[in-house]
Amino acid sequence: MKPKGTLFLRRNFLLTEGLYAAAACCFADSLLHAAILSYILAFLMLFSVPLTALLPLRVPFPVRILVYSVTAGLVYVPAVMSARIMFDPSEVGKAGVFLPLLILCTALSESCTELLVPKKLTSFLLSLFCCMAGVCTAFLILGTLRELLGSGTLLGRTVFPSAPVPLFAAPCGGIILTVMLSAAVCAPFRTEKEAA
Amino acid sequence: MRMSVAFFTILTQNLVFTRLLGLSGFSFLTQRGKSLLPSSLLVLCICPLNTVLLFLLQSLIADPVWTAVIAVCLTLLLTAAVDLLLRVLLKESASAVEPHLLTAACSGAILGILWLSDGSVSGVSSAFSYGIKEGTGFFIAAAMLEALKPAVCSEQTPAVFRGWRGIYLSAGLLSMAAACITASVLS
Repeated sequence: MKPKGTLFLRRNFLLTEGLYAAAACCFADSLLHAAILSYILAFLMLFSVPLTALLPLRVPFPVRILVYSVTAGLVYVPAVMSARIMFDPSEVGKAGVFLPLLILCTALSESCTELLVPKKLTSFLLSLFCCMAGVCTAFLILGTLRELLGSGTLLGRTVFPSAPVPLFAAPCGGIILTVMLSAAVCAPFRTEKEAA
Repeated sequence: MRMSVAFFTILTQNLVFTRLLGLSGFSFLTQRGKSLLPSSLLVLCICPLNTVLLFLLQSLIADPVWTAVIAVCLTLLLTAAVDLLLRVLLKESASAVEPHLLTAACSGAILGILWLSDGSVSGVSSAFSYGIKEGTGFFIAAAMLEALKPAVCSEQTPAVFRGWRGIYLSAGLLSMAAACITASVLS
């Protein structure tokens, strides 16, 4: 059962379902890297989900997932190319395997298939925007916290003379921070059944 | 000696603990009350085939971005074909296999793309052995997390950390342990 709460949190794939965790924990170790991830995810969701929504619901689940992935794959190429123009290409290149991972994680998400259920256009667009904004905000918060606490810097500028918690710069620290953030954000919206 | 070094490398340097790959699939299965083992066994089967397929594909497409996209699409195309075949053959029972197949395909695809980005494989046999090594590492990591599942899903665990969050925390701690063991061996 999905947690009750605002649409912004209920459809947050990272905090309520744990998707994109590898990208968030390994690559989003700074605000810049988190911004790159957010940009590509937003691009993917805004262009590929509405295109896939045109597919009739009677189409079998594996075919729907496949069509989504192919569409997202085609959108992914211009997304990466535009990211290379907007950000430092060497920083985009560092993402490596974590960018294609965004395509696959969205395909895994049950919430994404929920988004595709036919409804009013405004409602669909609101769901899509909340879903995208929720995950991107979570990426940015994680990136900021990890850069500040793990390296003592923000956007490359020194904030603390030494890193307060160097562990957070490593993937294992990233996952601990992700779980803590997820628990803190989702706890107030837990259903009675989940809390039992 | 060679075998023990290989086992040590698989145990501590596998992609689940070093790059946390496959965790999304574990979360997907945990939330549906499914075991992690069938899916990781499928990864062990898909991974060597996928790396060989990618090796052959790599020589045809020069741009790594397009190669990654085609690799994802090709893996999911094959998975969808197998899934549809299972639906025809097994009817209702196919729904039990479907989540495992989907997560295995996603994990297999991502391990293949990672191999592409490493670019350290020179031949088909080398690609196959890389796939076997990473697939085995993935299976061992999944088995360790599956063994921890009763504890992290029990009532003694705080409710907010039960389920996928508990699995993620365990993976984080095991990842930390693997990094410490590797660092101490290297030093």
